[in-house]
Amino acid sequence: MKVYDCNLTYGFNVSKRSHELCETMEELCKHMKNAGLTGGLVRAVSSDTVGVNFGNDQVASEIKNSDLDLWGAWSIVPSITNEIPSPEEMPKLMAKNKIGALYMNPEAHRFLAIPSVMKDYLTMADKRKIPIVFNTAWGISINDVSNLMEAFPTLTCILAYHSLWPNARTNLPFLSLYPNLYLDTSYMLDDQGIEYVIGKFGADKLIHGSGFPELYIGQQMPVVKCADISDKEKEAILHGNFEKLMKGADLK
Amino acid sequence: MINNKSELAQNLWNTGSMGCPILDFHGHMHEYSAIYFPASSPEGMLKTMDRANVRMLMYCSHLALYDPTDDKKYHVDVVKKYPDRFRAYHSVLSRYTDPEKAIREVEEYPDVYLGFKFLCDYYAVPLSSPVHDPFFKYLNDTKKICLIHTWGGSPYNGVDEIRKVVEKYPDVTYICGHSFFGDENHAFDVFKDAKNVYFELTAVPLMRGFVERIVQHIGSERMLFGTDLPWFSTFHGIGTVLSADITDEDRKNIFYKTGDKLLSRYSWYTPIDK
Repeated sequence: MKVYDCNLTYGFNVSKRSHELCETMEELCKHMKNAGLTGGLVRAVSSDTVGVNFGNDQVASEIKNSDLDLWGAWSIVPSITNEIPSPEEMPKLMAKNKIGALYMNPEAHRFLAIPSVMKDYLTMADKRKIPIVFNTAWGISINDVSNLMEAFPTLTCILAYHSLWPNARTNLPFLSLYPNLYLDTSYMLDDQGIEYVIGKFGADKLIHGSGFPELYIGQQMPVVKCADISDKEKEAILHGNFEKLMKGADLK
Repeated sequence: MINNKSELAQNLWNTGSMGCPILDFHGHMHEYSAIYFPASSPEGMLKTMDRANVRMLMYCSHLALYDPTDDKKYHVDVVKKYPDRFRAYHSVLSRYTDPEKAIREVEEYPDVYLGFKFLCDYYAVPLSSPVHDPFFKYLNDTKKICLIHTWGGSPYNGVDEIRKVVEKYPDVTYICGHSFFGDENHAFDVFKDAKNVYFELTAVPLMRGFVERIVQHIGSERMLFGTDLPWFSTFHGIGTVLSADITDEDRKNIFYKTGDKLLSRYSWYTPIDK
């Protein structure tokens, strides 16, 4: 069975201990292959530490060297400073570089992640069904996510709410309110949480993710594989929904 | 396949079962104010336990940890209904202690209770407080087990608090829930040679590399599997142990062998590795 992972990071981070990191693309691919992953969505942490262009260029150039089916995630910042490709230029460059999604890290890049500031990129992404990753472990707060989704309710996005505690009361309203929001399973820690979400919303709303290298790369696989759901539903979570999202964007 | 280097992982991926039993030493039960649980009843939890091959869960109900009126009613009926699947830790509510009553109940129901659960962080009472002395004296005399919620940097159940109690009551078997999350290196130094201090894995999955470091510094012979069920999926804990860079022998120790030896002191327990 194919398995994709929508929550992968690699790169040096001088403020973290080395055992918490996966420093190179080569090392990432080694871990992915050992876990039996087919591919996944990858971001370079250097986007947050060195600079947004450096990291975006790095992931674009390094995923090309892998024999796994890797898609890059690019970090975006407000267009007002003209640092990154404009919303008009972005889709073509994403297609050229196999970039499957965009994300924001307002904590690292020090900007306001509010609808009025990010309107141009999010309007473009909304129209073209380009996935936006909202991962609270990547420097965006759940309140920011809530405000952005209220302003762009049809946005195609993947939500990962990083929490030490089970968090159904926070996650499930997002699934209920926003039709194109997918939940990353990386932080779905609740016992029987997968079964509960599928019973309520169907299998089309979950995407397998690990949160590697902060978390173990294979640790959520048994949660899906051994869930009390059908094989078809497992396939949707482990690869079908991911493939649909990556290939569903209009990047022309 | 989770981990190409582990036969247990491949078994699970290919057949849905590792072919290895599990003893879970850290569970709860019933609803809890801060979390929604899809399945917090004994029957709901048994569904997960059956699928994951969890032979027995050692638990302390949320009710018993927050409602000081009656520990028995939250534990005795459940364990008597499912004697092969559950055993209880009697709660120690540090601000409402009645050691005489609690010890009497543990003695009255030896087939229900395996010892006591301490949750000092939540009550803001240090583990070494004199209010806990009668419980530790009893545990020391009877060689029963206690589960302690431990957390790095806590003034109530951090490394230094546990050390004080371990030095005072050296014959108690201590299960350190959460393995001093966040201050584990300090704990490794302090408890390296304390053979009666066990490291339990609930919350450990949230930090990659933690499992390997406990194996390296303490040894899998002093590690116990735990999940906080119904908080965290048992399969999340299984995935963590299967993903860690350790041997399948270490994994078997964590999943059941260490626990099997610990529980063998109780007359009600039939060892798996008999």
